[in-house]
Amino acid sequence: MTIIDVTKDNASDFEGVLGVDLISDLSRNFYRGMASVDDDNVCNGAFVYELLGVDSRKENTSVIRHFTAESDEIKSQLMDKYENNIKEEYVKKSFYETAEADTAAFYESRGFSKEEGESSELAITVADLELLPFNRQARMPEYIKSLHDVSVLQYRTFLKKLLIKEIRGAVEDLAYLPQNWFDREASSCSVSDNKLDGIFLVRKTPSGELRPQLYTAFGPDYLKILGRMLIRTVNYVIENYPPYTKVVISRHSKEVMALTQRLLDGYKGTPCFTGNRDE
Amino acid sequence: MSFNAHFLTNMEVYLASLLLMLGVFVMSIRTTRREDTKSMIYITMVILIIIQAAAGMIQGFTGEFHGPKILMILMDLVLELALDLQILFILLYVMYEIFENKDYIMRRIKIYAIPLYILVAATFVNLFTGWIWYYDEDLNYHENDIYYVYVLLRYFYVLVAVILYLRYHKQKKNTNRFRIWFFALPMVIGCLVEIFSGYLVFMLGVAISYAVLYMIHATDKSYIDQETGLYSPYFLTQLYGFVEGGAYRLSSVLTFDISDEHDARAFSDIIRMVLPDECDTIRTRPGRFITVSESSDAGYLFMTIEDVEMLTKEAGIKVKIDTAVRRIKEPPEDFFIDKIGYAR
Repeated sequence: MTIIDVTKDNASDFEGVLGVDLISDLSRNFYRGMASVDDDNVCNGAFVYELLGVDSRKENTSVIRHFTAESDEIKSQLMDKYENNIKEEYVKKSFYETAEADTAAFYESRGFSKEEGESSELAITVADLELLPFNRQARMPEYIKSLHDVSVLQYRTFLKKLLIKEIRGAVEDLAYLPQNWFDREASSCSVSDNKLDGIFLVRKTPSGELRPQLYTAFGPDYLKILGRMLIRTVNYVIENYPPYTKVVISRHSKEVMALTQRLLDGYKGTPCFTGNRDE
Repeated sequence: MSFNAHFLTNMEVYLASLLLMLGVFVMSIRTTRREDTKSMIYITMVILIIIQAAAGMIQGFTGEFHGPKILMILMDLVLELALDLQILFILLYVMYEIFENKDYIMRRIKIYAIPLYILVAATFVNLFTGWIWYYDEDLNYHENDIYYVYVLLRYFYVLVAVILYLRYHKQKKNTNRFRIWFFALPMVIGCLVEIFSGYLVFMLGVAISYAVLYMIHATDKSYIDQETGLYSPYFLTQLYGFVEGGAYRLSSVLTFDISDEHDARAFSDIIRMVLPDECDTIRTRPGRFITVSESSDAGYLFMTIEDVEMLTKEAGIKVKIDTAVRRIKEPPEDFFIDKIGYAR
């Protein structure tokens, strides 16, 4: 058995284990992956994690995005490699979320806490968006546009404003992703004085899922801007995507949690185990 | 020939306002750029006082020497319209001080100005009906009760400007020198003196407010590099004060050295396109520009350097870029002195 690093150069070899979305994520700046392969070069375990806080003054943390292995021995080897890696990355804390009871038990055996709850990701469909409790027929002001209608420079200048204010949404590597990494027609923005003052970024993953990534606005009108951008994006998605298309909302902050509770009352994440460990 | 004391005092007030505003106008107009919307609004405010003062003087002389009634009415019309516009522009000026966002202000002002449209319409209707004010055959001025509703609406606008400022001014950066009380105090004093003495002193109060604003603008302009519109080296002293006082947590410095000083203007245009308002750029030498920020986020620095390199390459400008990030335990003022080369 050999543990090898999984990078953007060899990630496609592990598509069967990791799936197309994680393969795509492994080309991003703060995603790290490793796999266990047997003597026949067949993958029998994989581990993917994302580093947070690297670019800012916050403590570095790690969120484990994928951990599968055929045996406890392979799990141990992958975890040992992970622990070596994160020492070099100055990670102070690790987090996990898993639906598998035995994986959760393994984490617990390695010093992680364990709690039962619901997933931080809320999965709905485009059909569910039609039931959202707001007026989708509201008049759309001309300053609400698609991401496609603004220049790359306008977009990047706004991103710098967000980074200075330490606003990243669910995208830790916002500074390094090209504009077309997001769905430029579904994503919305607000333009004032030729500059952006609000943005709602949505990604369409390789597997066809829609993932809201960043939702923020500034200025005295920010609530109106947020509302209009949401309406525009929801209307666009309903008109252009099949009703069974999955929409996955990462409830990574209190604000997103509160918003989803307000708009999607009664919807819950799948049951799972979560935990963390100080490194 | 003798004049009554009331007339003389009012004429002195008008003359003082007129001369003061003419002086401010002459000094301001030379250094105001047309694309600077806030400054153009200020100039308009000054011009409106000049118009009001001149109209007031003509009206005063017409009344004192029993001139034609039509001239009295015309000057009154000019005074009232100028005052309505004055109030609108005061509100606009305060909104520009707070929001600095032309599109947002234009959207808002369309709604805020509705009562003013009604005031202006009422002023014209009054010419034919005399239902708000009128002059009798002896050129004595009379106000009807509805005039006080008219006046209250104007004070309401000034109140809206003050409330907007108090509600939103904390969101502005600390480098903003505008203080509402500089603006409001002379006006309020003038208003109170007019109410209790009967002399038309309010206009002088407004003129003094504008003169104070001019002095603030003049001081602020000394911090601006005339060629590029970025900050001049004089700004460093003020900035150091903010850093030392803890109001500005300097965290990163980007230094741009252009090889040809003739590219300074083009380079400053690039800097303005690339950087958000949260950064300040100072032209410390003819070919050196320093961008300071309270953030040391690697992503922001990376994107800025990438964009500047790309745009300067397209423009054929050669630039050398250095980055400095403050260590966590390093005092911001030491970092400031070390990386900007500032000597106290």
